[in-house]
Amino acid sequence: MLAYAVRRLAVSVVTLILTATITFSLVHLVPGSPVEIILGLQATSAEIATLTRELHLNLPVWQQYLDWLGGLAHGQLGTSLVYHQPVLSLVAQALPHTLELSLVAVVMSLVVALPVGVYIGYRARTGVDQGVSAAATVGAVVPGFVWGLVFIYVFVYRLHVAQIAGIASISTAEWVNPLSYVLPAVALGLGLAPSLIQVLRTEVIEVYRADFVRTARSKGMSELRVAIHDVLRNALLPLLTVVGTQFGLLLSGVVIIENIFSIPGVGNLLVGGVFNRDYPVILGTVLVLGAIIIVINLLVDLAYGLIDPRVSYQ
Amino acid sequence: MLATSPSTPDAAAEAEPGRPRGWLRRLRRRPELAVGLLIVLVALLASVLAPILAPYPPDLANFNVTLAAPGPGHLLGTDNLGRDVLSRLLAGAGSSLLSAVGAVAMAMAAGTAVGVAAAYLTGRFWDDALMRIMDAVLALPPLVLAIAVAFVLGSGLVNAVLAIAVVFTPSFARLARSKALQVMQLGYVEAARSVGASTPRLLARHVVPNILGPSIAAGVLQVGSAVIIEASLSFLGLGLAPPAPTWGFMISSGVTYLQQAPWLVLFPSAAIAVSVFGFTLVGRGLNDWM
Repeated sequence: MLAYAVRRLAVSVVTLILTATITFSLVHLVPGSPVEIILGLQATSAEIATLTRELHLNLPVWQQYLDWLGGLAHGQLGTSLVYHQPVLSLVAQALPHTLELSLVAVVMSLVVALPVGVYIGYRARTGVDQGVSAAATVGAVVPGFVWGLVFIYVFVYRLHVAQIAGIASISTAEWVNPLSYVLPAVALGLGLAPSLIQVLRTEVIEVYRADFVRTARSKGMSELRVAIHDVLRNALLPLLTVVGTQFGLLLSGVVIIENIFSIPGVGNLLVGGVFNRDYPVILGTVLVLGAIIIVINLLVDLAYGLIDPRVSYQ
Repeated sequence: MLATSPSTPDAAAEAEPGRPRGWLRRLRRRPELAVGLLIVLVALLASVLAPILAPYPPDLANFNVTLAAPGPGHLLGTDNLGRDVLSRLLAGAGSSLLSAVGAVAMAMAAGTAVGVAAAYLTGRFWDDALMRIMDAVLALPPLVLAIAVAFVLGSGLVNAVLAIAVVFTPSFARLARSKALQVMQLGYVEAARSVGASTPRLLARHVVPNILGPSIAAGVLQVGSAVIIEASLSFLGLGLAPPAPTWGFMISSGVTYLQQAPWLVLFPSAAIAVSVFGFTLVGRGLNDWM
């Protein structure tokens, strides 16, 4: 287990370095200097020279690359061209909002998906199953930002029972209308829950065929106890993988949801960076969002070993 | 057993490959696939026939009927400049759907090339290197990567398509690599190699054709995601240049009027959801079929 954990960690570090390299290459392999993109066509040559020096673009590419990696190793992401603050501190302010939003969305998706997925797996190929599966398919094809806009229209503009949450969050300890608080997370979770339900359903159908379920039933255990104690526990593992693989899509959704609900998270920082042509902010946010996914997948793989001792490591 | 017996419809269909009756019969047994194909065909037809079908030119402003609710004159209402929403929706179908299809096609070509190359070089440094790079690209959230690439390339149709293609390349590479590894174990590849087929011929004639099926099924599924990413890019103002009425851009300009004129957001959103639904059904259906 320990040897595996160390090797798995090493793979993550390599992936992280490669991701940083790709992010770096986005700036340097593409034709045209970032300075031109930032300043536009009307820039004077003096402005170009100043910014080139400010971004260290006058150095050889390999040196810029090593500087960038070296900076990362020291936890530095550069300085914003617009805010004149370290990108790291901008990200540090924004990250809690993003993590909080994603976490609430994941938890709510799980709270819905666990009972629903187990139930329709138990009642597979009945009307209930077909109905819920169809609803899940529909839920999965409607993009999160559409749900967000529908919620804003219904709850904010028509029913007047919520506000667009803005900066309010648990981490800032500000009191908000609970509905305003959960709406963005629900809009986000509606994309995740359907895939969780579908995977859980498939797994549950599989597990119900196992011998130990028959044994449990023949011992006289209630169906509910069998469902929770035997079936759900065995179906949980693949679900964990799905949460890991879906996290990228979830963070994609976060960018849009933060934009719609004006939540000052990393996604909004990225989009703001794009509009300000603030290169260091763009690189930093892209890298941080990539790092989150790499860490989540590492945790998922390590959790496998802790949850299921049968999982063997080569 | 008779080939036409109802219990073996697949055998019957295989007995007469390419005959429309066989295909239709197989389709009838897969209502989901049929519905999906219908949606996709209608959407693609609508995008091609947009200039004929649209009741108004998509950019024709009419300040007498701004923000008109859906009704007889304008079936889906008008926007803040009095432009007909239905006509803009039809005009947007082309850029929204074709850019998604084009992006996925490019990603499939690039990803398959990388995957097959990696499979061919399996066990050597370049296999590992190629796949690690693909993993690193996959580590970035799709929309985030697309935003970064679109920013670097600048706005415009071709650049948006390129940005989306980059996002989808790694998953095709992974799929192509695993399928190619399976295929290369098979007897006919060994046979072709032993009669002296050159490497390019081996890959092009024997390996690639046999991994295309799963790639295409996966590709159709991905078109749905590509539609959403394109819409998200346009929504954020990073996709096609603003005059082009893409669905995502229609939504983002409609958000300002969400309270008075929800149809400006509702109809393009529905168009996105329905076409993603269509591509999802077709992709799943093809996946089961193969």
